[in-house]
Amino acid sequence: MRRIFFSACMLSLALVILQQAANTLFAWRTLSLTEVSLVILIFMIALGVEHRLILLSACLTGITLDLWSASGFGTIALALTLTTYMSIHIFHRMLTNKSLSALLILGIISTIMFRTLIFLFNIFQFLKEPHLIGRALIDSGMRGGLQIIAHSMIFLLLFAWSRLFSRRLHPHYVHPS
Amino acid sequence: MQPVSMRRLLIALVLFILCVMFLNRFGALTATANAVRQTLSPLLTISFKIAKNTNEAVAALFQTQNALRSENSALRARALDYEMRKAESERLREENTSLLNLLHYTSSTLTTVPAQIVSKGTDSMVQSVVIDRGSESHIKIGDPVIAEKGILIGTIRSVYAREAIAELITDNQSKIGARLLNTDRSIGIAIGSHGLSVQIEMIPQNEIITAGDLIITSGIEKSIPRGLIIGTITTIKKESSEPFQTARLSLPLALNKLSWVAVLTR
Repeated sequence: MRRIFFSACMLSLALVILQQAANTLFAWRTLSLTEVSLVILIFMIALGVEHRLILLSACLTGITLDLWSASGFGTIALALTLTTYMSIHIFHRMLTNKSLSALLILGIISTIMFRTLIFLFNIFQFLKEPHLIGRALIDSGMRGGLQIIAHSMIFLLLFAWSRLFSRRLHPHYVHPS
Repeated sequence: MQPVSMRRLLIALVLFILCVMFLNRFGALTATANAVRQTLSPLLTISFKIAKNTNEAVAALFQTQNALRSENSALRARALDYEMRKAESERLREENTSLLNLLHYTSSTLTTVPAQIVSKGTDSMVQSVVIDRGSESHIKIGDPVIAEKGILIGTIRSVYAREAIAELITDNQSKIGARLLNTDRSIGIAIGSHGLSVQIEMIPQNEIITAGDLIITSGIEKSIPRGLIIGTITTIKKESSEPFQTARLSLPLALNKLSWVAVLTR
């Protein structure tokens, strides 16, 4: 477990730096909305990486991202951990193969789940000004839609890359147990 | 996969996050959080700078008409200078009128704290930037953040010891009292629009606004002084059935290209 914890620390640090770089690199374009950390974690689920490592990395990445977040502390950590856990379950219970479609479906589901959780955790901010909820909901929906497109593009690239250089994502049946 | 151990791990992690949230709420983790921020900040700053430079380099590759670009930027600088002079002149004229009517005048005690943008905020819900000055430089929540001679870019949302998070004026939750430099001197509220632009709302229907009108801060907020430039009107939306009209603004600066800003603090 100590080895997993150390690996999770390193992975989460890399994910935070990657997220920061991606957001800046594609600043004010569709790809700037990408949650690179979520995309990489979901891709790792599809690759079959140790699940405890993925879950621990999600929690540590979320907490680190929360340090520079303007929203309430802990919201990204909770949303990322819960989304990752649910994605692991969905991948193993419902999507029983390692195809591109399975990866894309998992990506879309996890993106919707993550955005919904972030929105729900931030909803208390609007208690003082309830009239802003509608605006925030529209904004969240718009960004969620763009995020799904951006994430799908990255999943396509990652899938193509993994098919070229690895055999881990070649289509095969994954037993639900 | 081992469902039980995974479930236990999830419960442990959620409890851990809730504990951290609870302790952070009461300031018990401030020192630890600041230490982690200080440790990781250099890494984030380096990645931010590399990504920003790469972004600018790639953008420059696509600009083939260099001469036109430089001429355009020179003209933009002149237009900006003109707008700032105009805003300053209007502000001084109004201030002069007000002063004549006042028996006592209290001078502004604002201090300018220069700060560098070290990264973007990590929160996808809020359009924000992280700056390298915090409470040690007397920065407080709500302080305005400006760039280039009085152009408002946002307000401080969170403050830590040596860092602060500034919410940009384009963010959905940003609301700033604004004044138009039109003949009616209309008052409105500048509201961020989906993280992309700013629009001004609550302008009465009977007041005349035109494209090109300059928008400045009204000074209605205690921490934001009057006369900071917000932008110029580009399009106007006027419905006869509505009591107010709204207008979309064009910002004088590209917020994603800023490296240095200043915080106005009391």
